[in-house]
Amino acid sequence: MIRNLPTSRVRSVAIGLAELSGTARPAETPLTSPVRQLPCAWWKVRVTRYEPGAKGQEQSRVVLNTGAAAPFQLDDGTGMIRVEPAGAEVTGVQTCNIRINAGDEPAFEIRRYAQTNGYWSVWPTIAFRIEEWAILTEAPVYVLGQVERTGGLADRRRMRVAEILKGWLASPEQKRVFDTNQDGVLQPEEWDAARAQAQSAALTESPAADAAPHLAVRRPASGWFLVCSGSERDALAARGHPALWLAGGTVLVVAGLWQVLAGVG
Amino acid sequence: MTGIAVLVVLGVVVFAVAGYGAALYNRVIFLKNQGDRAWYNIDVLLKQRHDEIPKLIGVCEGSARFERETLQRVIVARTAAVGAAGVADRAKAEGELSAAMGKLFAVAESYPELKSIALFSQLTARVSSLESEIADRREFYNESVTNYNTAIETVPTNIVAGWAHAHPRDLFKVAAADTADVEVKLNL
Repeated sequence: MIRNLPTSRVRSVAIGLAELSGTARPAETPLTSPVRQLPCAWWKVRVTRYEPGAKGQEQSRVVLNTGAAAPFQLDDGTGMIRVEPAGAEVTGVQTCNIRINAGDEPAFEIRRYAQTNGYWSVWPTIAFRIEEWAILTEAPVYVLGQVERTGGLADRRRMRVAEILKGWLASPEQKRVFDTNQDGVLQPEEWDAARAQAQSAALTESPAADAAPHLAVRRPASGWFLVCSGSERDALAARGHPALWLAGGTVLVVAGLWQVLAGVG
Repeated sequence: MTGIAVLVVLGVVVFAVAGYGAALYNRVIFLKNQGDRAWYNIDVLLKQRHDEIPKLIGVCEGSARFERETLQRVIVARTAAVGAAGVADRAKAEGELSAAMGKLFAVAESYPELKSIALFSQLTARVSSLESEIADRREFYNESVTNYNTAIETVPTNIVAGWAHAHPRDLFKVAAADTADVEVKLNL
């Protein structure tokens, strides 16, 4: 799929399945990776605990495997498009892969992470590996997903008008300004006047909000949704060649069956 | 028992080969549909451009001194582009229309009264924006078609191309006139 689909430009991307490549920019709620404290749009942390086994061999156990994702903007130089990575198959860049043996003194951010997550108390006796992956903002990103329309300008203005009105009416002083007959209740004509003022305020306050993209890349109802740090080449490298998987799988199945049947014989 | 083992292994191999064949067939169909979709996505923009041009001509006609020859060239090129069928003919006609539009914009530079009309500025900005989008989608279409043509002509996908009724497609080639510089004459 990655090989077969040409890369679109944000400026001219069409609705439907599309492949985009550019720089990840923070959206309204950027994340911070918990270990390295890097600004990102997605992160995943895995903590593995190592303990001595019965026969003196070390045994490992994953004690934490967690992550978070937030919408971000993909900027390819021709425009920006919102990417909502929820439900995507994400391949992030590894930002931390450190094993701390019992008694080691880890770097400051590792120690802080261990302390805030309750691993520090057992550190002197048990070894851990902390791994972190992230889709960093202000770094290259590759996306393959469904381009859909988000709410248009009219919808966003309507929402902004509602927000402004809500803010005004929460303030008793401001509410009194609209309550022209001072009866404590906003009559329909007073309500209309307040809404007209809010519409006027919404129109004048933020030209940048109007310039925001009207499209978003999301998970399709069925099919692929990939978000990958780096370029298309990195995405391909992360997934491997499907023909090799098929050939390798066949060889393994044939070898396994041969062994089983030879054993039965 | 060895005979059964050989049969089972052969069965697995046949199953794997059939699966691989199906994957190749699906790839050809995907590329074919992707080419269709890429073409329809260009077509949408071309039609939008066709719709904007009469408005632009209308504004230019409002300027009494505007060169009739330039406008006539755009009108003729637009009519030819609207009537063209097939990718190759369409590409040629749209290229001529782009060249005619380029000439119109260049000539308009020497009509300050035209440039001062807000509607003219809006329409030229709109048409220029459409031109950029068409260029992007043309590139996308050509890449989609190249992937498709390459797939159906190379081993092993060419084996299943016949079953998928896949035939080579034309690229959306840019006419030389579309890429040539426009000579600008200013009435100073």
